[in-house]
Amino acid sequence: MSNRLAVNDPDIEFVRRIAKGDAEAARVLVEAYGDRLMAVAYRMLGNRDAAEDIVQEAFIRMWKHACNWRPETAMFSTWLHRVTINLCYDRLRKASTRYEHTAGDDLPEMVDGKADGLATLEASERGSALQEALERLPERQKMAVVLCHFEELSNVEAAEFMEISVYALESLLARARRALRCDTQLQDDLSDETEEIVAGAV
Amino acid sequence: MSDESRTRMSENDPLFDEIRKIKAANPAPALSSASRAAIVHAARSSAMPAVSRQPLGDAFSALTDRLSGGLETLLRPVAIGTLGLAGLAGLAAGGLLAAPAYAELTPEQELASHFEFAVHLGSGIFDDQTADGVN
Repeated sequence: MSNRLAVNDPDIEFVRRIAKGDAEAARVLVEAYGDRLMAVAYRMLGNRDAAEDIVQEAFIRMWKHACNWRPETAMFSTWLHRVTINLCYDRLRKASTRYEHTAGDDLPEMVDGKADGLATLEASERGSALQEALERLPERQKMAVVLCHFEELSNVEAAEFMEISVYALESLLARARRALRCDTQLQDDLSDETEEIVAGAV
Repeated sequence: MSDESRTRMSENDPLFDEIRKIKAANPAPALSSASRAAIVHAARSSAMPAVSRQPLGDAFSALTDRLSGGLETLLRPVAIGTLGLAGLAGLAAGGLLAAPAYAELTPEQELASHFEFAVHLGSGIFDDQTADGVN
């Protein structure tokens, strides 16, 4: 088992080079995993700057422990995701310094003049509503949704990254889906009511 | 139920399609070039020689190889001085450990030990004086 992990891990050679201070090897791993970790952290925290901090911290911790890396314990990518996930949990638990996410702040700019501009705007608003609903979920439910639905990992991979069983992950996902449906449905109903009131006033 | 079938069940959830559409419209930002540069730089500066996995001589060589000439000449006297101090401390500790063996004996006990020693050797040096003193 341990030998299989050591042989099959495509990143182990890069980790060994990083232990000797090889910046090029570090660059390869950052290119391979940087955006993926950034996406996980961003969906978890809802804030770009905080996500950048988390990803930097995760990589730097890896560099510091590269010389003591034991490939038989876990794949490098698994370890890196676990560190990122735990850093996200830590950040979320600091309730007093919780980030105030302003809806739309981190969303892409709308391009005027497009034929489907209204549809894009509507999708953007839905995305913002879902992001806000996601932020209200408990942290582990949120992480399960981010990994399985946003990052489209298999349940097995997501469970491994979160260091839980697949059954526990399924349970988290089921509860999260229920909560998201309730939350976004409530917002949709409120939005429809507002539109009806405005239409009635006009 | 296999893990693969569980995964397919998740994908059949209507919420999954909704999230995919929203994700396409609102992609997560990429890691900035500044962060990438900072991370790569940290890899170069945080690399350490694997001292625990090498014999001491190799580890010392690896360390000195990484040091510039000026710093190396500065550190050598410091290392020698540290070893010297450690040696002195060892001698002092040895003296302190040895001293109580004598300090614990009373004058009478010490005299008796000399007497027994002399008897054991068959010498008459202490016969007159010390034997009288002890008795």
